Amino acid sequence: MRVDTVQVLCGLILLLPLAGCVLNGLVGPRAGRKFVNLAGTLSILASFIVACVMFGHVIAADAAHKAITVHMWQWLDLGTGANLSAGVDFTLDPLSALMVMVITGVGFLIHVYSVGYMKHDDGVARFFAYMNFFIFSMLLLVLAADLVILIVGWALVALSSYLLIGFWYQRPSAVLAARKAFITQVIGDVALVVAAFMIAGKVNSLSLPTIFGGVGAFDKGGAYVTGICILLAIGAFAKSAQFPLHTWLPDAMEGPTPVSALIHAATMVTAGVYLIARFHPLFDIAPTAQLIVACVGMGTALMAAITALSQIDIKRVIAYSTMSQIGLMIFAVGMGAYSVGMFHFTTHAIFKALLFLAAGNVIHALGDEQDIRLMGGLAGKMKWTAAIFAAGSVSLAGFPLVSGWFSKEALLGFGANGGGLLLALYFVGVAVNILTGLYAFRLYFTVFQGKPQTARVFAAKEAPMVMLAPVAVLGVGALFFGWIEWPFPGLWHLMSDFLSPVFHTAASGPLAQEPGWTVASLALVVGTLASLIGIGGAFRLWYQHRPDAAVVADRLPRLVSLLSLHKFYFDEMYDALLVRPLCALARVMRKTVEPGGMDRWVRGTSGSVSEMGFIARDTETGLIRDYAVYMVAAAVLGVVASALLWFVR
Amino acid sequence: MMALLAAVPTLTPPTGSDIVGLLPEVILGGAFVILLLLDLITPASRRTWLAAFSVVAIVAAFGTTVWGWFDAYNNPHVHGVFFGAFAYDRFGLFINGVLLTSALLVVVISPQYLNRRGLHYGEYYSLILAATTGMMLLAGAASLMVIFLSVELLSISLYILSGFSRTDERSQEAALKYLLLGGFASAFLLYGMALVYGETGHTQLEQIAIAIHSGIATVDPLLLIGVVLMLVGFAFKVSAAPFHMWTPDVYQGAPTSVTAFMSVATKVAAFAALIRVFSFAFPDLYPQWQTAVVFVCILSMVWGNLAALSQTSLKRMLAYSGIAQAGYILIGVASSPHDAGGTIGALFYLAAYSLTNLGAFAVITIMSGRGEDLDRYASIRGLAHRRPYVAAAMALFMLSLAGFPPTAGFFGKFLVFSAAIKSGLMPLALWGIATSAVSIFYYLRVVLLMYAKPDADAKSYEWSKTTVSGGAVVAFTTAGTLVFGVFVTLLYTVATAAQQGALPRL
Amino acid sequence: MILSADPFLLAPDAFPPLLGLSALLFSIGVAGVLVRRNPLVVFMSIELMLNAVNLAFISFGRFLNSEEGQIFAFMVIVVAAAEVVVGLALITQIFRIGRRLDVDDLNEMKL
Repeated sequence: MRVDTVQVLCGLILLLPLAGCVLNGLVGPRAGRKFVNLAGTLSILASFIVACVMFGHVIAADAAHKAITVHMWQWLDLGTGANLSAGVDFTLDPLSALMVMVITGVGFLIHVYSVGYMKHDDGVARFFAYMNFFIFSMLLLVLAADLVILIVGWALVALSSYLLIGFWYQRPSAVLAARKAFITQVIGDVALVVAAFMIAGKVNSLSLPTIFGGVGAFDKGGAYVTGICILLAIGAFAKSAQFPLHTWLPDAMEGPTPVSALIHAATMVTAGVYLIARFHPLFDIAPTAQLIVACVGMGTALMAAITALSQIDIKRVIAYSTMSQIGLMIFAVGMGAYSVGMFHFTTHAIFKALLFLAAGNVIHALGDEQDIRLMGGLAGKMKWTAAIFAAGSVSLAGFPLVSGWFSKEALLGFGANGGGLLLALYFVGVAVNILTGLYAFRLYFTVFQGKPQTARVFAAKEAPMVMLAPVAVLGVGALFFGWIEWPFPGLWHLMSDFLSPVFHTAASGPLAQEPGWTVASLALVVGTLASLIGIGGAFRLWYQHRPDAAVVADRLPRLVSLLSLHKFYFDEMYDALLVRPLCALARVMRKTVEPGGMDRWVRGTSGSVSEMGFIARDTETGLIRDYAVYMVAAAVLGVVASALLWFVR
Repeated sequence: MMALLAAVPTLTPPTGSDIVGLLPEVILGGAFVILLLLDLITPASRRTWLAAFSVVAIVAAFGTTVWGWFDAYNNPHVHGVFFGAFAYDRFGLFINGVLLTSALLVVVISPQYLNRRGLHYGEYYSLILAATTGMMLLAGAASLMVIFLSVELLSISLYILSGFSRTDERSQEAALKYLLLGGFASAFLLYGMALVYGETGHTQLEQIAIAIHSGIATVDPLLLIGVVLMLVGFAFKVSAAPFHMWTPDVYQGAPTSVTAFMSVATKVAAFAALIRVFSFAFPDLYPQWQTAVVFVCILSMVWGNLAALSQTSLKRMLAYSGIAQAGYILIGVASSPHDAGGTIGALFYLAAYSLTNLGAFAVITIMSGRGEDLDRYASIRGLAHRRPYVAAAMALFMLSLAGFPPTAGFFGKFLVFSAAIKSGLMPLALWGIATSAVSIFYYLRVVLLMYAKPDADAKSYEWSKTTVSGGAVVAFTTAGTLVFGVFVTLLYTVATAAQQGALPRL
Repeated sequence: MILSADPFLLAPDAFPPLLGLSALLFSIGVAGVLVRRNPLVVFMSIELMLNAVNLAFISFGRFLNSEEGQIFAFMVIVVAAAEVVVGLALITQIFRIGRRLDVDDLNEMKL
């Protein structure tokens, strides 16, 4: 690959969405809907085409030259010897090329879908400006070859997510959800920045190739590198909605459905997976951090799967399922199985975007109804949507020979091959498989099968072509994309082979080893059986019996059903652990508070800060003499202090 | 003893190279006098010509500043010109550049605003030029005497400008407050100067630095008290807490174009003098003055940001934000003797802050309607729906002030924080980060208000039409905020050169 | 502290009282600013502070045998005069608008 070619390609890929954003933001509101639709989608299409060219370049390059870092310009140079210089550098390697393909490809389909979805919304120019801006920030994040640029992309992604969740700013719940998401993101940002400082302190550079070339500077398994990795992981957890920073994701469903599909399913929330995969040279020498990450990932996967079981909002079910699937990915990259983690990311991006968009069709058809108890029987009204949704569901549940099956079983196979804790986590994964089958098909059967529950269902119409075609394209991918990689040694491994120049060894760190035939087939059989049990259970429960949510809760063990219904009491827990003490501390206990812990926490803090603001403001009496008193007091303090300083010495 | 023996130079007229070193100030000062006379022969309807003349003078001064940037590098004025009373160095010229840019932008937006408020008098431009001259002199001052005189030149001009709206009670009140408290602070500054002079035997910074460095002047309480009192005077001018109390009242009362100028240029010039005195003349007293600066710095960040949260007036909010920003710049000052990055960061911050803050005030100025200021939060509600470009620019300025990348404001913060960390002032950097997190609330509030739907029942505010000149100023500041955020090295290199060329050097 | 051995200069023991007087005058000025409410009197207090500074400058200059102190004092006098000119004009204008001459009344702007 030639440096100048890559520079041009990277530049184009980034600038096209940005141009779309600027056009939509500045000219869009006056230029009319047609212009906005064209500018919004075509900019992403153009970016996707350039991404394909770039992808071709990566494939065509010989194995030794698949990764290249290009320098655009020096952003900041703090002199020689300073460790805080930053260049606008981009890395093109199989990993970033794959990410770019998914972001622009899935992103383009979702943009097309949005044209239909936002047809009746007045803020469509603003919407497309934000969406294009998100694509730009996300591309910046994955292409960055410098930690500073990466953090900038990381923060801009959070900003665009904030803007899009709060897109309908007239709804107080949307504004609150946006704020909650942003604040959680900021926690992750801070962790990431501190990690960057720690890295710079050791290797004297913030350039990713230099950092990865200089991992020898760290003690293998030492506390320093483990600390860095845990901080990076906290950043990843915040972005990927993992325990304990996960509570923002379900609330983020307040945004328009295409936003949920693009940001809170396919791309942004998987940035954490990307971050850990990108920093694999560091994680590989910090086994403790790897184990922690794997545990958190699988724990979140289980917790979210249980919660998904009793949710009644169609988007929230899918949101918890996203959280659960990302947990699996985090588990994979945590134990060092980077390639399969990225493989599952790719298939998940496809089928989860599909599920959201199809859910969007349903919501649209029912006039913004999201409660699944009021749906039912939609398969007769919306044949295509139902069929495509079913394709997504089988992929999610891991039905044999569809995309999700390949990636999920491959991922679990690596767990089965590890000893001790990993094996235990693998069995949790099998349980997650059962639960996934249950909640995925509970959703499908409740929404599309059975009897229509309200009159609105009878009036439902199939979505227009512009909203159906992108989903159909995704449906094909959800069924067949997985065929490129088989979970057995010796068969097709297109994805692993493609990514192997990045991860050197074929998707394995010190913890996990690629399973042999025996383990792989055993794990495959067990995992597949678990999935089928889940699907079958869902069929019996929700197709043949159709109980409502309360009845389901009765059939589960009492503790599990309580945990599920109350989302594991996380909101309540944050309330007790953070909000109450903080409030007591600041003496700003409010008498009336809405339910929901995070919201309360956020409000509590900003409330006490503004209380202090009022105190600060009250010092402004407007009286000259008062002002003079402050000045004199400070001056006297200074004079006395300097005199004291003298006598003390 | 040495101090006594130092030869007193005989009175000699300034040489040609002395004048060259002072060329930008001479041009601007001359233009100020000429403008006073021109005003007498200019008909009232043609006062815009006076603005044009000021623009020409400022551009000429800017040209000589740029020329001086290269000349000062090559010439041997390592002891300053006028017997060391004035430093002809890249540090001063850098500040000159920032000041002249601010003055230019303010003069460009002024005519339409003054016309709308019925304040279009010729003296306005003379006073702006006089104040700018004072500020430029302050930036280059290398002697306590010149510092005092230039502080007073700029202050007196600004007292009059704050009270420029002669029939507006609030403007008069602002001016008198500024004057009384300013005089009060000047007295502290002077007393500090007297003590420093008495302890070191000199009024010229270079000789003061030598006297302290070589131990001729011992570090005793009187010297330290002198330093602290000088800090009080400067802290007042840069409006750092707890010497900031005049700021919100004066900013709110003064005509908006004056506030725009004052909020930016005074701070820049006073910071230049503060850095020159403390970092370059008192580096040996660093351990002593650092505590005081850190105290003022933390207090400014906390007080400014907290008080800004509960404001309902844009101008007052920006005043408090300016106090907080002074705190951030003080982080750079506090770490400057330890790490060159502190001074560089402060210089970068000053340039970035002036562009951004001036842009924000320019938006308020050009949007102000006839006779009333665009002052209340309520009056910007829904601005984005009627004036999308101006609102977008304002949003950018708010983001830059809050320190979001990739704006110039982000790198100002980044540079001072990293300098603080490098010189072992980690807590200061953490305070900075924590308080700037608080600041996001009130900056984003403005953005949200602008993008909110206007209330149906609220009386709609009559925003003025954006004129060519106003639009140009907003476009210029927007471009600057973005360009210095994306191509940071441009400004960073210049700031580094300014830091390296700063006088006095030991 | 630089001590002088020159017999023609101010005797070292005459110096601390002068400086003390200057500090006292300065403090009286500060107190005046803090307690008086008439802007004119506040002004006079500030003038008192400036003159305390002048005293310090001149005695330092005499003590150090350097004329810089005296020159500085002249500068201060000139500037103080200029400041008073502006100040009196402002006070007159405020009086004209119809406000009482009381600095505590100047609190139109709050919030």
